[in-house]
Amino acid sequence: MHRIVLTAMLLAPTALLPAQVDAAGSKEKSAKAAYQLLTEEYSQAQTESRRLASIAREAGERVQLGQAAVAFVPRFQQAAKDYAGSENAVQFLTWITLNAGSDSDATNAALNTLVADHIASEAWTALAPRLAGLSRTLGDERVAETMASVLAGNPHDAVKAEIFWARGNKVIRDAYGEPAPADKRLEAIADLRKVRELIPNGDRAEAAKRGLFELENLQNGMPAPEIVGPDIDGVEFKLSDYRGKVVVLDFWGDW
Amino acid sequence: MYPHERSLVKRLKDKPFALIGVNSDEDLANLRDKVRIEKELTWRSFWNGPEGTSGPISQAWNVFGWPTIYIIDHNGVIRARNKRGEAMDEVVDQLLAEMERDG
Repeated sequence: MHRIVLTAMLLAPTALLPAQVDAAGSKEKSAKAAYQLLTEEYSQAQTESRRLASIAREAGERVQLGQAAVAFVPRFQQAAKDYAGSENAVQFLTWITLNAGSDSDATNAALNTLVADHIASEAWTALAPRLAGLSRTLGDERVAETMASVLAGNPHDAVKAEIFWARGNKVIRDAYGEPAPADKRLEAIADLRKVRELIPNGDRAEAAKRGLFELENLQNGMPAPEIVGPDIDGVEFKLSDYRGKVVVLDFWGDW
Repeated sequence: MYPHERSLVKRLKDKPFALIGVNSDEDLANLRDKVRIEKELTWRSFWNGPEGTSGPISQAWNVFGWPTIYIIDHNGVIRARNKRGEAMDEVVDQLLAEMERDG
């Protein structure tokens, strides 16, 4: 009788037993608590570091910022290891990716783990807008690779939209002095159109619309769009009033 | 910014050239009554409205950093972007020369 019961138990379906649900839930709680503790400590360390920096500055000493993160990276790395393989690890890995700064080894390792183990996570929604900024430490190719991996492996529309936005907007940002080369421009147009397909309304959609306008209308060789508006004396005038002259159009402010 | 803009306007005052600003200061009265005098503004500017950097003209042109520059030829075609100082002068002079050649 006992043997049969044991076998039956071993062949039990893989649905979580109540005890297991509790265990998963409490692991999530403890991970969240650990993350909160670490980030609060880090925030205090940053405040202290800024305080010391301003004292140093007043004393005429040179100041190096961004050092507070250095001590915390190993602790976040340990936490990520403690929760490895579960969604709980993602918050720690994301923190490292965004805060390890010039420690490109730590940034790379965390990003690698996120891509390898957590490609389908919804948490990429928060990370995506920050990926372009990682070009400085990780290089353009690495960033492009990561974006492509997420697009290929992540099922969430919100995540995909953020990646398309990040990729398209990066082309615009990089085109400061020289307009984007033709192929990059076309890719960016396709990416920003995808954003609008996936999220038809809201701030992101509006930003994508503006980006598309720039890519499609404000490149060298294109006719300048009309501007109609008041000058600082309230007199209305148009940009086209100056046709026949060479014009420098200067967006400026006194701040 | 201001010294270069002023000197460009002065140097080219007899040429078919215009420096046109799009100003994003929120306080129009301060801009009109103080800044204009203190900073010796010698060029015309559109006012981007009370929303400052979120105003309609800069939004339409997708401006997200200040200053942002577009250089436009006499046919109204955009020819360069974000050239400052000497680089700006070079492009402007080139476009003026082009205009003279085209007659």
